[in-house]
Amino acid sequence: MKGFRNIFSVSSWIFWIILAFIGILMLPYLKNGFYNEEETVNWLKRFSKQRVEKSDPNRVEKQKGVLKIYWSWNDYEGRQHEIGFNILEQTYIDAIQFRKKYNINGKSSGRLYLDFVYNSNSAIDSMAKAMLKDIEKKKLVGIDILNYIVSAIQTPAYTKITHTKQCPCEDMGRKWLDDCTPRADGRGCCNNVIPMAVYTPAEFIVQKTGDCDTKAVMAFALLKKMNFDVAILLGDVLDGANNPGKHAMLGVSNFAPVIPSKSLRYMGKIYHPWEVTSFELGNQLGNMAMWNGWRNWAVVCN
Amino acid sequence: MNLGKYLFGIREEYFAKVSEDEKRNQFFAYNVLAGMYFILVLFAFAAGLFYGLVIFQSWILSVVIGLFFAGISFILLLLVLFLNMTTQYEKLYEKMTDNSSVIDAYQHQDLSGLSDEEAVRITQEYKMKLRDENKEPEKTPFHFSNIFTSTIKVSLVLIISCIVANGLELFIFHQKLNESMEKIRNNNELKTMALKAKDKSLPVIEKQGDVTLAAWTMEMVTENPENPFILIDCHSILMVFDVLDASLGKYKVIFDLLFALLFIIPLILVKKSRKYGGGIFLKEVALSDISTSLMFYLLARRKSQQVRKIIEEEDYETKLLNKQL
Repeated sequence: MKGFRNIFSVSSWIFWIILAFIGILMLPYLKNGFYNEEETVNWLKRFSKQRVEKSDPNRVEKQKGVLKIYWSWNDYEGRQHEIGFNILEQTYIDAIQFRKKYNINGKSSGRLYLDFVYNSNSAIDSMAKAMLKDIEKKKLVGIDILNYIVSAIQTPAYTKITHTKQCPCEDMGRKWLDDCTPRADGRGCCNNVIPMAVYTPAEFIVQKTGDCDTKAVMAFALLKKMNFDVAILLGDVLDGANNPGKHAMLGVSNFAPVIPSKSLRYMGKIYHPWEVTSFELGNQLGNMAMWNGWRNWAVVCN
Repeated sequence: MNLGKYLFGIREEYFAKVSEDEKRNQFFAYNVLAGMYFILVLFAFAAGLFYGLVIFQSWILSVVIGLFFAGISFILLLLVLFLNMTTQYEKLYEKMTDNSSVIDAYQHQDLSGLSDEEAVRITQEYKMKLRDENKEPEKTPFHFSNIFTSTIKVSLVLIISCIVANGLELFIFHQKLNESMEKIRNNNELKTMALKAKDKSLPVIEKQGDVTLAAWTMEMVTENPENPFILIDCHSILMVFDVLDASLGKYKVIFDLLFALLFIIPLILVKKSRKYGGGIFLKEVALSDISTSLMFYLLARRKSQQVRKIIEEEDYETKLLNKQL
């Protein structure tokens, strides 16, 4: 019985003591010991931290197996565009594996491009949907849509891609660094990209690094997704130093060239070339004036 | 002062047969419990009031919310207390919940001639007999369902305590919180970022995430001259909690636990202290219940037997045939 009596007195005392403590806390004197105002400063720091992390409009954020891709660019009219979309990190990893294990034996470059496009379908789909949403919002039509998409692909700086270890090196009158990022000075170079020195569209979306055929494949894939009559064109050109070399471009049919120069007839259609390697006002539909040569051009896939 | 009278129905007549000491003890125990209960309900009212002041910045609405929350707490806490307030005189409890053993002796007796005085005498004698037979409370037998019911009761009390604790912490630290809000309001970095949200020359992507959050934060701590802040200089209760949580750190958990203890103590008292379950008040209430039940059984039985006799003595069939009914 004594034990039970104790429960009553002990519990009651605890209750009244806690109550008294809460009552005392309501007075202004005791609060300093519990409330740490410095934490407010820490609470505010989250803003500055986030600002640094998110300031790049072309950043890639990784969250729980999902890559959030941000893409920002200007079109030929000077209009600014920005989109954000998600792709699974696994899609990107799978695309790298697919490229590295791709068996090129007996296959044409056109076949390889198409296989890369099929493999990266979900990533291309995400980007295309984000673009279409933005296009609808901005009410773009006709050539403006093509300009919107191609300028987005042209904007990341050109990167030289090699299938062996070549960089750092000097080529096409330029010094290339062993740096596979899209550098603002345009001296980025990626070594050992097998099998044919071309990235899959999923890799390009994440890395934003690529040369003529990587970018042409990407533009081709996006425009095909939106039902445009496009193709990938391959041929020989001479650069500024009159060095011959292979080159890839995007081919567009059913649209009048903005800057007419060369064109290619294929299966009853006329394809106008589009230089997609870099964003310049001269690199609009139809223009080939930047290259001295125009030999052996063909449609490799459409 | 008899606080228990208003909450638990403690009345003098229940203690007619017990010593003055015992009576004083019981009055004290129930007064303490009722006191605790009223304080907790008052706290619930205050918490509701403080929540309302932050959310609506209006005294009228806040008082309404305070009353509403106090009302809910009043009912739920009372429910939890009453559910635990059963006598530990187990035999009395059994007879109270199942009176078959009480009325068994009168099932086959002729009670048609029983007078009211006789019925009162029988019930009072039975009550005294039960009182004498049940001198000491017994330990309540354990049943597996006790775990389940206790868990629900404790969870209910903890939910209320958690809400009350946060509400009162808002009041306790409101001056400090206002100083924090002042710091947030005057933070240059935050101001700059918030201004970016209004800058039309910036691309939309630059205005996402933290810039939007900064603009929202500034909006929350900016006073509307037409509707000035009342308790805390912020329009968002979630932001206030975030700052409070960050500033109190581990003390926030300690305060929450103290409030939880405050709310749990009445429950522990009723459940574990023999001043309640093992006390005279609940024993007398049980005895009163049993005797009232027996009394009304006897009266009802007497009446039914009297009616039966009248039916048996009268030839209702002939009367019906002769159309005398």
